[in-house]
Amino acid sequence: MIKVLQAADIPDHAPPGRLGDWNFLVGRWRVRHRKLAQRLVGSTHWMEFDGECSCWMALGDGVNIDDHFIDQPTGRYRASTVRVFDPKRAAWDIYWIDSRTPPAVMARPISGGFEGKIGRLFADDEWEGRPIRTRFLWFNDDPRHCRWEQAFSPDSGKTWETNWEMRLERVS
Amino acid sequence: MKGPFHQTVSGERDESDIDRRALLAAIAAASLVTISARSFAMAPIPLPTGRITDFDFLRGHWKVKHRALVEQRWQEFEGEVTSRPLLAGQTNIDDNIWTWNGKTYRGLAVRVFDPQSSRWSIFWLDGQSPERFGPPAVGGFSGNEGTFYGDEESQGKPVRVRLSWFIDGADHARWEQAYSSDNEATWQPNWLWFFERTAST
Repeated sequence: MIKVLQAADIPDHAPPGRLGDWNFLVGRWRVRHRKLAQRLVGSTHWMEFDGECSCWMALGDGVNIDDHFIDQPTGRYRASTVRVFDPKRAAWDIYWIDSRTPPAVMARPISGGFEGKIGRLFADDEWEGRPIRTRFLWFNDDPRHCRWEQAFSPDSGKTWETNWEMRLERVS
Repeated sequence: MKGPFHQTVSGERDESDIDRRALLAAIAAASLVTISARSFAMAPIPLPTGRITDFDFLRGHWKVKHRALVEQRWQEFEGEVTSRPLLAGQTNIDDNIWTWNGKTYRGLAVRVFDPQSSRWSIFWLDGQSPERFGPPAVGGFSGNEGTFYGDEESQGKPVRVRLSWFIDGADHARWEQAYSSDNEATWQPNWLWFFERTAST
């Protein structure tokens, strides 16, 4: 059961990142997706579907890569995450590659790190022409389970709408 | 003049010389195409297109001999690459390591294929400055040769970059980076990679 987090529960800044933050994610996972049908229009309609993810390290320990198969009912696709550690800023920068919009790759990373078993990453972005703030949350629940949430804020972080959740269960 | 790894790796001098001649011939051929294309039309040369399977040959582990122009001298050193497909082949990522002057360097190449344009965009992450990816080089393969163009800065000045790939059978490949600072009239190669396969996955 995913705990519904209130905006007040979550500090609106990213903790520093450290090498090793993503070690928990290395391996193969079964993924249950829960995705809001429309974003920032007050939608309450969620789509639920399955996916798969495999994750590995590169560049020594400085890069973490995952490869997703996303079995979305409105269209299967693939996506990949490239997470790069910048030691100067003590931050992880996360880039997202989407098979449906490949040239948009590397556009705007989302940056942050972990505080204990909870990761917080933020970016300034755009959604349908509007400036938004994007937040990723990661919950490293136990060696076999973890969760991810994406939320958008249209008002510089005053209010957040979670629009996508992943529950990951380890396969290997 | 032979570089350091020719003294330590025996039996590879001739092969390497053949590689080099083939590479120089290929560079010359590429230059001729560029010059003739430019003499007939002032419009920019269209970027090459390719296919989603273009980098299938690269999947696996390779050892690499490098020749790099460092402070106007060619330096030779060795490295390794592991290349892995993602997104069902629409992306591939190379994990690179090399040693030069007793120091270890790393770099990541991320290549993403856009089926709309039939072109690859190649992004490079320098392990020494991982705060950002470089601007992409864009292009594709025709037969066993791939060509990709991009814009970068070198010593504060904008330069055109050309990345060239040559596939030489199942277990050998070459890569060359060249810069042009005169609107693609002339190209100066500054980094050559000679790939030899060590494992297929």
